[in-house]
Amino acid sequence: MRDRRAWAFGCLLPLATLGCTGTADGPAASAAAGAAGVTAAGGGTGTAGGGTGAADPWQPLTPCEPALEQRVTRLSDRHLANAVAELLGIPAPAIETGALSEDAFIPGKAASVTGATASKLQDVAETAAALATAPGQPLATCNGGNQTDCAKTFIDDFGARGFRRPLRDQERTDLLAVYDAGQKADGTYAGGVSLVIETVLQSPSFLYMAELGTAAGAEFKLSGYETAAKLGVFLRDGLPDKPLWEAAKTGALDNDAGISAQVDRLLADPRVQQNLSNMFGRFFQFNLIPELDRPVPDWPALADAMHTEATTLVSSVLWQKTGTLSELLTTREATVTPALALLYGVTAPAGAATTPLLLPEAERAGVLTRAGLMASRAETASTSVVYRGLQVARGLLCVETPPPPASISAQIQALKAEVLTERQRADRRRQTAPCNGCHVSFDPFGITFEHYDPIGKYRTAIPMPDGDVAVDSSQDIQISDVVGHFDNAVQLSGALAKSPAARECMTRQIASYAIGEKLTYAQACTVGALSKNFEASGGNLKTLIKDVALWPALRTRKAIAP
Amino acid sequence: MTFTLPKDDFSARRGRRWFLSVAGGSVALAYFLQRGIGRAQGVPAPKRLMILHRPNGTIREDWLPNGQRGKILEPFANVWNHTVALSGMAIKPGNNSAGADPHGLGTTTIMTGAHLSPKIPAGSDDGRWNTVESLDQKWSRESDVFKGTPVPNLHIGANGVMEGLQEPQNRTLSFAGPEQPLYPVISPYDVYKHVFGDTVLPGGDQAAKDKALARLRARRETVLTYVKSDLASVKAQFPASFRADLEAHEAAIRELEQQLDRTNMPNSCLPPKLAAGLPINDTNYQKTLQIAEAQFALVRAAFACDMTRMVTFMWGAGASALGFPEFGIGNHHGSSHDQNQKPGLSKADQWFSTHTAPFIQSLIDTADAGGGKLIDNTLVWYINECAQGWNHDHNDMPFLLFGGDGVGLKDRGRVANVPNTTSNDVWLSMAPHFGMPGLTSFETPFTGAIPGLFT
Repeated sequence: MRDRRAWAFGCLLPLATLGCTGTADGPAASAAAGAAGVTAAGGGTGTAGGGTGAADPWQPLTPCEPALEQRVTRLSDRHLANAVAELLGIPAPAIETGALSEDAFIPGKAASVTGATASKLQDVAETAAALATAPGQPLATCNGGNQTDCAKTFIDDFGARGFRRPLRDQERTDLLAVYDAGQKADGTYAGGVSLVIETVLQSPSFLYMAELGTAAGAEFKLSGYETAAKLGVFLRDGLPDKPLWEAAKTGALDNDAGISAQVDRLLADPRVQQNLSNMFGRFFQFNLIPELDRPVPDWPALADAMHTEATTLVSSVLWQKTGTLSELLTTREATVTPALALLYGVTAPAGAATTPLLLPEAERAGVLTRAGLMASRAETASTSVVYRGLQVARGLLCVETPPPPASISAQIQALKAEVLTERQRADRRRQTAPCNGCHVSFDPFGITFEHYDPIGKYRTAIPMPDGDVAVDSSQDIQISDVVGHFDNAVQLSGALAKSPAARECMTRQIASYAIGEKLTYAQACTVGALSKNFEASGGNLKTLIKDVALWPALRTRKAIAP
Repeated sequence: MTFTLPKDDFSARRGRRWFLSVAGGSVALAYFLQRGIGRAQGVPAPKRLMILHRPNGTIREDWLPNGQRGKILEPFANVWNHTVALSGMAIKPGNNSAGADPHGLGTTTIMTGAHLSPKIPAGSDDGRWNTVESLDQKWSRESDVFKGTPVPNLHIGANGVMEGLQEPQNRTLSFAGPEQPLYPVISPYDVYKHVFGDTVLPGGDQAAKDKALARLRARRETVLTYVKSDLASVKAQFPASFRADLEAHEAAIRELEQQLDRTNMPNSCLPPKLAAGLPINDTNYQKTLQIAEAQFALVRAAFACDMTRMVTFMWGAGASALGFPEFGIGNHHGSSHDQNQKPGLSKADQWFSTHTAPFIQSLIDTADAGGGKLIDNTLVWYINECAQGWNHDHNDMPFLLFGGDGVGLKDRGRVANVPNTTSNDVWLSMAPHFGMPGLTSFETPFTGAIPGLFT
């Protein structure tokens, strides 16, 4: 994410010249941004700059194409490890093949399997098989009956779950031959079973997830098994669990009611809830917090406390409170260590490792204003209007900005070399071409966070060489549907909590996560109904997650060349 | 949760089934013995190429001040007679470089010599995809110099932690094709497994080990036979757009098959014994050093044993977030933009020199099976994706070449003034010595082979 790059202190090219109009490739791009305000990207939010001209924000484009083409994806290292653990009832192995960016919210395409990857997967498979068939393990023995019959039963279950579909006859025959080879070589049932495990775990049918579907008119509908696999990745970060697998086998996933029942069941599962909390953690990049290096006492313990507080906040709002986006953006409830309480200026009882309490009303509102998130959007010795502004513009309002050009690096450095507060630097960008073209779409948000220093502590003054400068976080904003004068980030968070554009953007973000790719403008039209229902639910994130799980586009594909 | 294996030493970690300690070994077609015999009969020593990258630029005034070896280069003093420093060379990117991430732009242009793609990789917001396979891949595939080793090319690193997202274009030097990054392996244990995993060390009960070895090979043959069959099956079912990935997977399986015949280790060629509990991908620079030292030991052994002749190595990703608290650098990339932090940044680049020099020294000290020392037939190109961190420019790149007579590196122990040249010209200069005489041009700017750099 470029918003943590130091050149972001400088400036970007004009919105107009680089397509900095709110979307990279959609019709909304033609809406003027610049001084008149900025339009949110894609999806047809239609909330024009300055808050005018809003048509039905969820009117789909015509024609609205299915979200995705048929495709094949390689399991991520994380999914792979979880799948191995679930299939064999062993702890998840450590797998780091560099397949893709595991911490990314939308990681993109996985790298090809190389010799080094295949070697690692061989190692994982052999180790896992040895663990699962060690003496005393359930898979090591055939309890009664003929060993070959036991092996056939094992292959049918293990192979099919690993491949996420029923085995074909030839596969069944070939895997039984693998079992025979292992059994004869070792003279034991376990020797045969372990070789089947090694084989399945290295097979492309396990390592790649196919989303091909079967023809249904001009489209392709994913099978019940493919749907189960998709839901397994989205909701469980792994394979379908047994009830979901059974539902696929019985055809219950071939209709909306059957899928809905499974999704309801899964959303009550603590593992699924934890996974979805982690999803939001990746969205806000909480993983950056423990990596921060700040020259302050109690560091890195304080960073760890911030990370815990942030993840607890998300989990609490989602699963113990209202589950709404607005609560996530406004709640003052926090679970903090004594040291973190001190940073927040509140008192925590001595002796308790962590304490739930309320943060000061004038200073904190929701996840955006928490210390960890603020610290992770700052430099070591200064805040960052750009990082913090981009978090709001890109993350919460889907305002796209073009990549900044390398050609203005000297200009950036010159601006950075000046001794200025971050607000003064932002003001300079606003007055300077070509910087002002793009920065107008996110700097105003970032300015409202200026009360939070580089470790996220509330401040009223900024130490400068010539003496303290009072914090001024007030800002007039006309970006997407966030319009008005804001004294600070608490007010901004309140506005975002009420913003239809933020809710529409969150719809696209979760939909993108579910499909594993960032929705293009043409695809974003498919989330119209999701947005409408999310809005009707009062921005309930659990409703959104369920709707995305039931989203027709998640299991509809269009054909690509064979 | 992860499972952990015993870590009293690496042999134990690999487990009894994988690491079989017997003397000699008698498996037919033993790879090492074959190669050993070949060498004894006078086959010339193989040539090797290594691209060795460290991130975030240098501090020019401490690199080659007044054309002389500056303090960043002082750690290379003992290996200077195997070194040529290049002065005045640039990276000149091609199409779609405007606005592109200067880190990925640098490495991708060095490694491909081709235009960048207008497409931005997922996980980045200003990177650009590569448009062709990288030259290490192309050369190891096309040149006879690199053919015939068990591991066609090796991509390894010491640290992969970047600032912000882990952007694809910054995490690798190698690409199997357009938009197909080959990420470096950071774990020395995984590198060991890949390169030396099934080899047999001298010592122990040979009969028992032969039996265990035969079992292991038989099992793996069974597995790989099925895997190949499954690959063919999915290739027929999956869309054509996925074919390149499956073909890469097929090549990977062929590597595993070759490993089955690579199981006896002559006394003259021993893999390093890795320390237990090495850290993985940590932003702490001392931990990164532990990984790098293990990786360098593996590269030296892989060269000595002729397991591979092409290596790419990354000390850290472009825009690396490695911290050097000793030098006041909390985050290498973040600090690299700040001219006020030049003293610390200079020490950071000197740190890379300090800990790269022993590896070069090990190539100087290690006997090559074909005669002479490893360095004689090895070329190491020491690169950076930026010239200077503070402005992320690509002029006067801080490049070094280490090598010997066998690879034609001429007049070592000097600074070669090569103004107006580009990184492509290094490839053009090397090409005749590495079996690629047909390489004469690039999509991106070049001037040609640099006179006087190579014999």
